[in-house]
Amino acid sequence: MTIKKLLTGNDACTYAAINAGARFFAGYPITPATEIVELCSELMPVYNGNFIQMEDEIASIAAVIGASLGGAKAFTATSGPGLALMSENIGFAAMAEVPCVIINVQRYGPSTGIATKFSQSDVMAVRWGSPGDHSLIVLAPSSVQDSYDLTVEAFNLSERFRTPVILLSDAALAHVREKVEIREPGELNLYQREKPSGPVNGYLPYGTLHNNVPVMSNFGDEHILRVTGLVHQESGYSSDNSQIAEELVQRLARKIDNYQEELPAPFFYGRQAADLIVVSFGISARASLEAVNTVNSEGFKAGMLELRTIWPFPRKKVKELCSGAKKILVVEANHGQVREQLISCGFPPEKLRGVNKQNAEVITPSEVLLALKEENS
Amino acid sequence: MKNTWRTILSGSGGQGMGMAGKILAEAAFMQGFNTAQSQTYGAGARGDLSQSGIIISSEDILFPLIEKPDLLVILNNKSYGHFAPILNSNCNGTILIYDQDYAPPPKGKINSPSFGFTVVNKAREILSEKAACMVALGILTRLWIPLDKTNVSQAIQETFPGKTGLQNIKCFEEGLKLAENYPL
Repeated sequence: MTIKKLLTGNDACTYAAINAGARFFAGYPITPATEIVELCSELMPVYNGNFIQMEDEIASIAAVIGASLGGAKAFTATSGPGLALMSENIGFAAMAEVPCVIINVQRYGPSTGIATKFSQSDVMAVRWGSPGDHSLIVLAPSSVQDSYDLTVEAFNLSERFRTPVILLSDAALAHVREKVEIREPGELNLYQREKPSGPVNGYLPYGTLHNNVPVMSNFGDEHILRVTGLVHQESGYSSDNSQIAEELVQRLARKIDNYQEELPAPFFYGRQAADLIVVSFGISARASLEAVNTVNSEGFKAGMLELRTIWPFPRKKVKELCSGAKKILVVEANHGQVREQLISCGFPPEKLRGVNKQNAEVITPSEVLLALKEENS
Repeated sequence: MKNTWRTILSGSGGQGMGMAGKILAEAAFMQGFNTAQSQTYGAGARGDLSQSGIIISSEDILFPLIEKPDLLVILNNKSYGHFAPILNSNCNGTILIYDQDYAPPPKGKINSPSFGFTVVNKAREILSEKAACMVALGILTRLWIPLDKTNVSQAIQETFPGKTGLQNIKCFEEGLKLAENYPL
């Protein structure tokens, strides 16, 4: 059954998590993600799930990892300073291949910044906040509906790839109210993690791979699961062997990078073969689309690419869709973190114009419009 | 034909800006419109300048926040400083509704069509200043917003169940009455 409701972005994420099957939430309230914690405290008991308010964010993500290892779909929600505290254990979840979802509602930073204000400046922090060559998936919603849909997708991807998935929301999207079509569990395609079925004796938790992802038991099952953040062998026992280390770290990347077509693809709006293309994500993509529609109604040839998967960066798609443009405007409320990715894709810097804002306010359609008109003149 | 209405309610935190915005959005949603509602988040909502923006549209809403309102409701003087660039312009197209007792427009500085009402005092008579926005909702519903008053009443009732709801609905109905003679 599909229900229509008027919800905020934060509420939509929470309902989506419940409907995706999440039954464990551990978190520490932090502006502007607090409403997710509050709503979880109400809903989890109703759905026979568990809600724990932890002592801090380090403990929150640790509890989520523990719950997931025990077989539950588990998640947490936080913002910049909390994300920083979670970084070590996000790396642990990537290394130990523990499915989990982290909703990061971006606020103005660095550090504690302005707790209540907007930013999109965690693009690199979510990718590289944790040390080491780890891989993970990051999705960025641009509407309340998207907050719902991509949260469901985040759980599916975390189970499918056995990896942390971060939903990159922001303070503006988290609190705006919009109509949402809530598809309930019966109408959602939900991925259930694979379980080992062979003999218990000799079971190697990291030994049976399906599309480079290990088929692992739950902690406490009869198939013994050994868990560590150290480099480990197929048995789960730690190792300092250089060949094992290289194979493991490269597989962790390969298991996601080689299957990028399964991740949410960018949306492309406006004119194909456009001279001007705007690349954006999150709520800035909404401002960008309004501006692109306006200039196209005035005879421009502009297109707009909305990134939905931020990490791994969809290099192939971006190159395919943007290579014909004379100029690419990268609209983001940070110093140019996505623009750097386009440079790494091979786009010459002089072809890229950053439309950036760092004053804790949302980028508006008229600001994007002005930049588009300047480029076309 | 007009198909999108962008309204901002601006006043002091505690006058019910956020709640009124939410009620308006709920009523628009009941009536089948697309809607997007935003509000001040942070210290402003607790006594300082507080705002709520509501977009109601029969079309898809691309950008959910309001850059320039079609209608601005001001319930405190501090709001004039914030909205000066819009209200001082000769060609902004924004209509101003203000509280005539507590937020009279600064003389000679407002070029928008302006309409004053007894909003806060009316709310105090019936319930408290916290219901000022319910009076404002009545005025908006009568003059501006394409919403059926029964939908707004229902949204108020669902937000404030019981006796408080009835008092808030009375404030809303007083707002409807106040606006009877103001054809915009």
